[in-house]
Amino acid sequence: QVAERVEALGQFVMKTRRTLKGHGNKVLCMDWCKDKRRIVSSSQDGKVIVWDSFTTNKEHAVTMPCTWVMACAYAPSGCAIACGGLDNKCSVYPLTFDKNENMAAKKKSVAMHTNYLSACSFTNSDMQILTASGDGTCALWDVESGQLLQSFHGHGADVLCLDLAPSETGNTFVSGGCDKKAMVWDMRSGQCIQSFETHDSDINSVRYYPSGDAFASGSDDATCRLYDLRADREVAIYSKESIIFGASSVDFSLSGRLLFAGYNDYTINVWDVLKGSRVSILFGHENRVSTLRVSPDGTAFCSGSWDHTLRV
Amino acid sequence: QDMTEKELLKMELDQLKREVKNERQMVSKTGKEIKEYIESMAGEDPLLKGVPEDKNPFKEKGGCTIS
Repeated sequence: QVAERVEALGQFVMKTRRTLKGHGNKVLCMDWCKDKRRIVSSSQDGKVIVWDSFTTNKEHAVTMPCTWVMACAYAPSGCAIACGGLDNKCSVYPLTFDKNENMAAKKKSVAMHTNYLSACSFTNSDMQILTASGDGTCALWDVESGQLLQSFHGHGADVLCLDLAPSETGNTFVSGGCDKKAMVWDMRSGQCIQSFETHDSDINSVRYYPSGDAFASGSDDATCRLYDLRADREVAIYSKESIIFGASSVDFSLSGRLLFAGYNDYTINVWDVLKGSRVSILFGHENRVSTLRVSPDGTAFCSGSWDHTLRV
Repeated sequence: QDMTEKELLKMELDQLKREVKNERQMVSKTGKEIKEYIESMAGEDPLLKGVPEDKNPFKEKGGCTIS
């Protein structure tokens, strides 16, 4: 009702501008570098690749000792990446342009969980990493020493995703899990501040709204939802009867007006956040869309898929 | 984590007891503020309003490539 008098959006034409090919198996995760052009991606084949999305060149590649690298993240400085998966760890690799240096040799093991790593993110510096795991917990680690700084208990099952609040909003993050709950945490105390349980199935993706006052979620129940943090409740559901496959990954456009969501039926649906309607459906991937992020300046978004490719 | 059903429920209950004390604002107010935020930022949202071809870093470049 809030958006009743808002003008509806016109027709949208979004094109795939780049296709990044090189992974030998399903792409599971990707992240943008703050320079708005580099991308790190990870795959079931154990490889983690850093791409220049403008040229599509691969700038770095490393092979992890495990398959199913489910999580990867770019450091804020652009000088390192973090990744992990079935090895139950999160490792940090400094990025070097010296051709004589072996990237794998400088690997630093930072986080240790007792089950798979599902998500990781640097905080606002290269010095700390936040992780989410199939062991049902999230944790904050010091990169240099590998020390556990804080752990977050509260989910009743695997945690599948997390997102840090925009830096202006303070030290919180949101996580989503197989217990159908989304939980908002205070990073300093380890306490859960708010929790939301309105989805009917696993929450695969959570993303803060640009102002930090809300967040969106994508779930195996085929819906995406918007939660208002200050009102402490769900305020919108993005769904259609024709959409029956799970949403794996969500992200907002720069203003927060659009919500991009990748689905297990190979499509990307673009939702009008205010009106609750779908404005566009994007085809192109030949298998599940597993990961999706809008670039730091909002000019593009990248999707990764089980079809082994990434599209910008 | 290996917790019994009873432990899980107790954890949930403790959490809900903490949350009941949270301050909540009215959706009529917060919803309006979300709408206003979007409207204030919409002009700068490249995926919303489009980017002129000459400023688009992802535009396909025609011509030859130098290898």
